[in-house]
Amino acid sequence: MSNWDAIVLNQKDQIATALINASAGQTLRVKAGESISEITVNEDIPLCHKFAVTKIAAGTAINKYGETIGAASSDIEIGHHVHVHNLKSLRAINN
Amino acid sequence: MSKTRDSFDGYVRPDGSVGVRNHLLVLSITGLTGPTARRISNALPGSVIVDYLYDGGPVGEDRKAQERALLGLALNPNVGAVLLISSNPPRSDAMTEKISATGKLVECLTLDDCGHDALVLTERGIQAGERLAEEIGALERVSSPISSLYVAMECGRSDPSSGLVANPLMGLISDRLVDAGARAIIGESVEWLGAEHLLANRASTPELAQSILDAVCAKEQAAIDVGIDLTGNNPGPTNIAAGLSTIEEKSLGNVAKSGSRPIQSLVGWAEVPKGPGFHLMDAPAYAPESLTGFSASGSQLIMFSTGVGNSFVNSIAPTIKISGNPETCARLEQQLDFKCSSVFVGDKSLEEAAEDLFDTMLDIASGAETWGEKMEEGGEAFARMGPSI
Repeated sequence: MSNWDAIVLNQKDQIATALINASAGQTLRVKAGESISEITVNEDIPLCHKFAVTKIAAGTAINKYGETIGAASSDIEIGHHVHVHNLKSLRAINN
Repeated sequence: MSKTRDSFDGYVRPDGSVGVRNHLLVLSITGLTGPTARRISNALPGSVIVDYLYDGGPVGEDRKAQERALLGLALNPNVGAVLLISSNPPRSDAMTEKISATGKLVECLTLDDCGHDALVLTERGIQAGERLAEEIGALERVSSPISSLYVAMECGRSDPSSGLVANPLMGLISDRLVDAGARAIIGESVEWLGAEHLLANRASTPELAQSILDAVCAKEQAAIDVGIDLTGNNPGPTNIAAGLSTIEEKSLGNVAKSGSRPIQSLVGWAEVPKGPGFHLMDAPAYAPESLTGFSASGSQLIMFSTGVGNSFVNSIAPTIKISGNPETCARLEQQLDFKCSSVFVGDKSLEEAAEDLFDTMLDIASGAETWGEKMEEGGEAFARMGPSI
């Protein structure tokens, strides 16, 4: 098996993708570039889902692959699940 | 090993195109004749049925797109012969003439010529189909260059593993096909939203770059005009449960299938991309319609990545199912034609897996059956661009 449990795809990203099904309280080995650091997740993070690797303020654009995938709709703490409840698309918005 | 492989075994057609399959296509181009055409196809083992549900309804640009798609399916290099079934003689006569002009074997039967008797049409259809099947049955595969391939890259029921593994892997295959002088394409243009700048930057001309941006803008406006929130539609509920949060995230994963080579053209649904290289199709994202857009534009093969699993395949172009999600690879052992979870867990590099996938693709091009072919999955769905009148 792998030497890491989650991966940050680009140095501009504030989120990592879980490569395992992680449980709340679990400490994950997070690969970012060549370095691996540890982050404890505060919620269950299912396989392939995202969690914050830095604190993200509400309204901030969130990056994955080094590109914007939407904006935080509330403040997000390190180790928290980042998904449709706190990450909103910036495209095709109905005013 | 595949580094030295520069050919596959295919069926050379009179117009010089090369098929990876040698189908007898029973093509019903009118809604009335669909059930009869199905009866005919059922009596002809190995034949492929395409049962178009409309006739007089589509008008204007929509009508043009429908006719382009029907003719395109008939002209797909994987089709050795066409048995055209219709209740509209002027339309089927015109189409027969166009198919025949390419040198392809075609026979046309209409309900009108059979006294409007569906059972007479059934009997004559089986007889005609049997003759065509025998004729194309004598054809043999010959070694053909990779440059004669036109491969479409699709994704469906995606999850974040698609953008991490299977789609970048297909991107490497796209690049390799382009470098060999072949054609490759992606469609699903709503899933360029948020990644359109990456595609536009690769356009071969500034005009094409603008067309790509305009196409995405039109899709975005269409979503706004009907008042839907893309989240919940695309990404859909299955994508969201699997971890995709927004259209931007999905798109950035999606366009990884396109590799890195320059983009040569932007075509419409079911429109043939001209010349070698990488192309884009501005077309619906839902897999059945998207795949028909590709097969009707002449794709002989489709690579199809999936996150949680997607069984749907095209009926004319063998569809290679690929996943990098380790849970999906374990759960869908048979349904997946290529599993690459070893890349997901870090045991294999993308480049190593691309070697294996290229080999698998050439094996399938040369006759190895996909899961979808073994199970006789597959169908065609015609995208509608306007109302029926």
